[in-house]
Parts: sequence; structure tokens; C-alpha cells
Amino acid sequence: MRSSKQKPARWMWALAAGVMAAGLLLALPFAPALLRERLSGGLVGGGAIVLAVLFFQRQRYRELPPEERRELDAEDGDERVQMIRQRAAWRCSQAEDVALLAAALLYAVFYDPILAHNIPFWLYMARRLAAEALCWYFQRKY
Amino acid sequence: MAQATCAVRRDDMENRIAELRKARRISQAELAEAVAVTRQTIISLESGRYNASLLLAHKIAKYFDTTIEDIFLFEEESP
Repeated sequence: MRSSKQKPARWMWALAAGVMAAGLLLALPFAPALLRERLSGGLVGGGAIVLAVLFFQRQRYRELPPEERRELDAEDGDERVQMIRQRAAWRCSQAEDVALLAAALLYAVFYDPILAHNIPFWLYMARRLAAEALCWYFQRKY
Repeated sequence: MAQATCAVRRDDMENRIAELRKARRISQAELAEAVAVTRQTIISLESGRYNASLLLAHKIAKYFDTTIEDIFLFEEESP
């Protein structure tokens, strides 16, 4: 995850603009009424907020001393930073798995005992399958 | 009663980055910029809290115009 002080990446600008554009498109008369009423305003507003935040971040980045700017620019390619981010992501992933299993258990005990209806359980299974598939792929690649 | 002994191996990696850098009067920021890492990474390398990858070790050795073995000292210990 990038630091909030870093210069916003190009894809972030594109994503914010894309969300706004989608909202504006949905506001047009030919869009389905349900989507127009429920999504259009939210998408335009959300995209505008993200764009404002990106502008603020870019301005703050420009005001940083050159040394600090160089440090922030080097972070994305720095192997130690990448290692730290990967370790943090791995720990968070493990915590998320535990949370999903706990949610699945509580769901089954207090809400609906039928496994097929247990959404947290199936979310956990989908995550595990995706993780195993990626591991298989990376084992072949490396 | 005979006690089983477990041989414990602890592999330590020391380096001479700080020594070489100071000998050439180079700052941590300059070295970090030269090998394309952050200054914090250089600090962690010099303090021994982080071990460089082979690629980074090669870049540092090339920067100081020496070999990896001359900079990174690998010691094995067994009691």
C-alpha cells in the first residue's frame, strides 16, 4: 500500500475520472432508471471526492523537500519496502481468514445452520481456492 | 542418562557497508540513490536488521568497485 505522502499514481487519476464518467453516463436519459436513481449521484460524488483527495495529495507532495520526495519515489522499487508490504499483506490475509471462519461459525450457530446459505463460509472458500490457484501458478513460474 | 544434544546453527551476516561508505565520505542518501533504494534501507543494512538480496548486494559491490564477499561477511556458528 502506497504511503499517503507519495505522488498519486496515474492509475488513481484514471480510476477517479472513470468513476465520475460512469456516474455521468448513468445520469443520461438512456440509462436504466434504477441505476440512474441509485448509482449516478453516488458515483459522480465519490469520484469527485477521490479527485479532490488526489489533488490535495499531489499538492502536499510538491511541497515536500527534495530529499523526502526522492525517498518517497524510491519506495515503490525498494526491495525492503516491498518485503515489508508483502509480509503485512500476508499477516492481514491470515487474520481475514480467521475472521471469515469465525463469522461463518457465528452465522451457522445464530442465523442459518444450512451450509449452502453460509455466505462467510463460501467467501472463505473462494479466497482459499484463489490463493491455492495463485500458489500453483507461481510454483510453475518460479 | 545420556542427553541428546541438538546442534544449533545460527547464520549471521555482517557487512562493511558503513565502513566503506565512511572511507569514501559518502552519505547514506547518496549511496541509497546510487543503488536505487531508500535511505532507510541503507540504515537497516548497516545496522544488520535487514539482509540485502543478491541483486542489491551486487549493486552495492559494483558501486564500491569490490566483490560481494568483501562487503558481506557470512559467518556460521555452531556451539
